[in-house]
Amino acid sequence: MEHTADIRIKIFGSSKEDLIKNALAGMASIQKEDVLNKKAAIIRPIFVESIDLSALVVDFLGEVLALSDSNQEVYTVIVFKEFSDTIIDAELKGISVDQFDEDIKAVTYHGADVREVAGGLEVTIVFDI
Amino acid sequence: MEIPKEENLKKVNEFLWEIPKDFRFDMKVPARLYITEEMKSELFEDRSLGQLINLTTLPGVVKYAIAMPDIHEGYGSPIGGVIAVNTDKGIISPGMIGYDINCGVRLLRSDLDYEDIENKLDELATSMYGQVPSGLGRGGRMKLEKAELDKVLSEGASYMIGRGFGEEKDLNFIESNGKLEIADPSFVSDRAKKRGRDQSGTLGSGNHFVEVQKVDEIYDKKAAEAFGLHKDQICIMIHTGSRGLGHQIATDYIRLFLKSMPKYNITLPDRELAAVPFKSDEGQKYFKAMSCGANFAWANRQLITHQVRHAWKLAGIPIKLDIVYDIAHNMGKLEKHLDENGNEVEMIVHRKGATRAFGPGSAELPEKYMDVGQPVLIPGSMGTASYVLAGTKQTMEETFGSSCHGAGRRMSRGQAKREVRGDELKKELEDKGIRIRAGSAAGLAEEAPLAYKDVDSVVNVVHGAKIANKVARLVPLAVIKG
Repeated sequence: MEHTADIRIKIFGSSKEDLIKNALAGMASIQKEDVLNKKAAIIRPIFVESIDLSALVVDFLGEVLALSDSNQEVYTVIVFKEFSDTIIDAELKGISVDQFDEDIKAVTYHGADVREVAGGLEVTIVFDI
Repeated sequence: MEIPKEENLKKVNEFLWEIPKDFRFDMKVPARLYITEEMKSELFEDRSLGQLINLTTLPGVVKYAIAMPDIHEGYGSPIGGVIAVNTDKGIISPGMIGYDINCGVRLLRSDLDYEDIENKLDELATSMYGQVPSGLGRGGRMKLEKAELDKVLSEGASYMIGRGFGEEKDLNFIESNGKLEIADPSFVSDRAKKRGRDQSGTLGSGNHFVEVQKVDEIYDKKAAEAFGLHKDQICIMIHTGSRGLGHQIATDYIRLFLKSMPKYNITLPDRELAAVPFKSDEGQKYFKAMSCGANFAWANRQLITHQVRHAWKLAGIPIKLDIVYDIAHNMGKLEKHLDENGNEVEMIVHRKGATRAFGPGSAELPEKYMDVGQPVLIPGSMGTASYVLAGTKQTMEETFGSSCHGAGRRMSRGQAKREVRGDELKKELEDKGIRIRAGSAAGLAEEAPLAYKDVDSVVNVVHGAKIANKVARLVPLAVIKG
């Protein structure tokens, strides 16, 4: 989707967990092209608690971004241990990268409302670039 | 939420338009835009006007929310947005200030003219590209342990000068002397500190750059003399901010504020503008953490200045590089301005993609600039002109001492990459005599001049509106980017 200064993507999921999985894949694709087909061997634990599902999507991606930036890694797979509308307790799997294709500064809440649509859920995320 | 249409914009004068307070039920003040008739149509091509209206709903906002002529869609606030909030009655909003806290611009003037280095530009550009780490995920040479990083967060640019990366006099020519005293590293998360540990002295990517420029035209001789600028002089412009450390501070506090807002009965049209009372516990913690981010950014530009000076030495060009000025364009600053009743009160001025532009006589200005006003540094898009302007008395009265910050994007990054090839753009610019040293062809395409508004038009609006006067125009000779 178009955004004048930053990057806006629309994410669809057949379930809430699927929405989170696809959000992770969407962000990984921005960070590094062709990363989704690579074997993800690095494992990092992640725990996020938020006020509702919409905030949970943003906060989760924000946590992933911080891990990514600190460890120079891109994460493509999530294995849930616990999931609700306000909690994600999981393991991320990813790969180490020399450099990113795009430097995402932050994941924003701007217009990030999870909506029910035919066949599942949808959310739009704006990444600050 | 209702978005303004063209008929909702009421003309105040040739350069100023207003959307009245009754446009939307939740507006607390009107919205003002510094634009011309010709610029109006572009306003409706993205969501920036809706974002501007949202700023007018923030508790404690004084007089009006302002959009500068480089306005374009952001998140929360439009880029080019300014609000002043009464600190007794109002809020502070990290999302309005932005993730790249104290993203800003520094201009260095040299004691050389174009003819002195004309034949050495290639070597110089390569030397600068080697000395200033730029690009996606590239850390710097300085790796700081936690205690040292805390000193950077507390001391700002003066930390780097203490380490020998600059001279004491540099501090006189940095906004707030390169340090916000209220900074307290204990309110910055370990995660933010981890992200910043190896990022001192790094440019990053996106629209950040170091440019070698030539003064192409002088408009105001008196102000140019005060700023030490003359025609054909070689200057260096640096554009970068607080890197991952600043981004994480904003992320941490927006998240905290979202949880805290119900306690203060604050509801807003956009979560990204999450805000709490300025004088609340959470508000003060953020302000102290934001000040750390600001200090980190000033330290970053100070270390890059040292790296640039060193690059010239390595290129075998003896040179003296002094700071003209260093200004922030994503920041919340405590300042005194006149409210609706003409009373001078303390305000927290939020500038998102907007530059402080204090007029003559402002107490914070260096003695040399006291009669002419603060230098206002406006970088153009890659390959186009940049400007030095000077703040005016009218700026203080009309825009809380603020001006525009750049050309302003008009095209998405995706569209720019579809329309321009990085390698072709590089050749086109080099054919015009502009050396390009960049890590990524795609990154170059994203920053193509056609993706930006015409900087000359943007600057002519603030000049015409008398909120900053044109002093000098600079053209690029070499661009170093991530």
